[in-house]
Amino acid sequence: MSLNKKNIITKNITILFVISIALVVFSILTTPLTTKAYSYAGHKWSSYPVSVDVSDASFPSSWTTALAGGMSTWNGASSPFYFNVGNSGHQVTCSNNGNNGAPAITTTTYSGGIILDCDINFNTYYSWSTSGGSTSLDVQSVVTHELGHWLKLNDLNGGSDTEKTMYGSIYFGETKKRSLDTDDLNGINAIYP
Amino acid sequence: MNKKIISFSLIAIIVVAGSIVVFNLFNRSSEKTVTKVDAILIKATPEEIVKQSDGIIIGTVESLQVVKAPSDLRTNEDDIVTNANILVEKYLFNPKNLSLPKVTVQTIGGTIDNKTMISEDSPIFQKGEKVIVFLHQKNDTTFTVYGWSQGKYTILNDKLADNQNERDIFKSIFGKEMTITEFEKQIELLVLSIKK
Repeated sequence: MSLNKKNIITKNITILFVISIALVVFSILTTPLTTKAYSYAGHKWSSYPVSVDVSDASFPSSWTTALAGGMSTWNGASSPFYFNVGNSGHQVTCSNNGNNGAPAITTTTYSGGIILDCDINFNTYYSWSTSGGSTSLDVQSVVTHELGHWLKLNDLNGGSDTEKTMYGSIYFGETKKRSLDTDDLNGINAIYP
Repeated sequence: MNKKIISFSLIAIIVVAGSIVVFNLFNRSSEKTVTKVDAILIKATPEEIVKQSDGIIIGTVESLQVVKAPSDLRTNEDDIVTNANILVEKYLFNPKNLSLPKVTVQTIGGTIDNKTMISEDSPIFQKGEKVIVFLHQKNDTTFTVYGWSQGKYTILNDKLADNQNERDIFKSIFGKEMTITEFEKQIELLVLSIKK
């Protein structure tokens, strides 16, 4: 084989190698991030602040402070993302959905990786408290958890996740979800650096 | 000649790779509308999940239908739900004296036209799958799963929970993995303690 042919083959192999690396990097960058420490759903808000709308008549005014507490908790992270209150249509509502085991639900509508709408619904079948009553569910803990879903952090169910705000279940009287675990903070800071 | 073949091959590879990238980018930008449902669940204990359910069945999923249903969660919107028609093999707990040979269990999730609804907290049923379900009665013949993902487990080779998420949830409630025989015994004891 001539030296010229060897050079051409070497050059082409180098180009193919560079293209392959570029494709691998592209695939990694476009794959939703999932770790054991926190789990990200892979879509996000295109801009912030994101306003939480509490104008629906079903939302009790006595819950406003607890809601503000949940927003402040996430706003305190080093991420530039923040929540405020406003008539955005991203509503917080309450309704009696019966004894289905789910005291609150966030619904998020998105397209092309961008969030279009988020809402929270509280199930008033269950007893709620803003002061940590032992036989009630704590509004601020649940708000903080649900706002984590607005950031698109997924629920975690592992045995090592129980202290995190994004742990997927809650006991009556539990208030520890009011404050964020390091992994919750790492989640928001990674999604909205 | 060889130089031409190599150059042509290189151009072809670049064109194919570029097309894949452009196709993926186009698909991402024209992605259809998806609604994701995330629920926080009341932490189930073995006693409570039995006590609060309207029945516990073992059965096999015969068929699945995706339909629209009025939403409990959002105003002026329908939810997309999947109805799993389950042939009941056995009632492990039957406080309502249900005698239905088949039950329809409704879960959030499915696709209709260009709209998709998904939920990681909502259990997913597969056709032909053998399951244990903690029922929450919605009407005479339709049920939901009590406790969402805490209330449905796949039975495979006499073992409960065949994926890591189901195993994590099952262990967090019942403390350890179990065979179906062990689980039936556990439910029997729990039902007796509830009746006392």
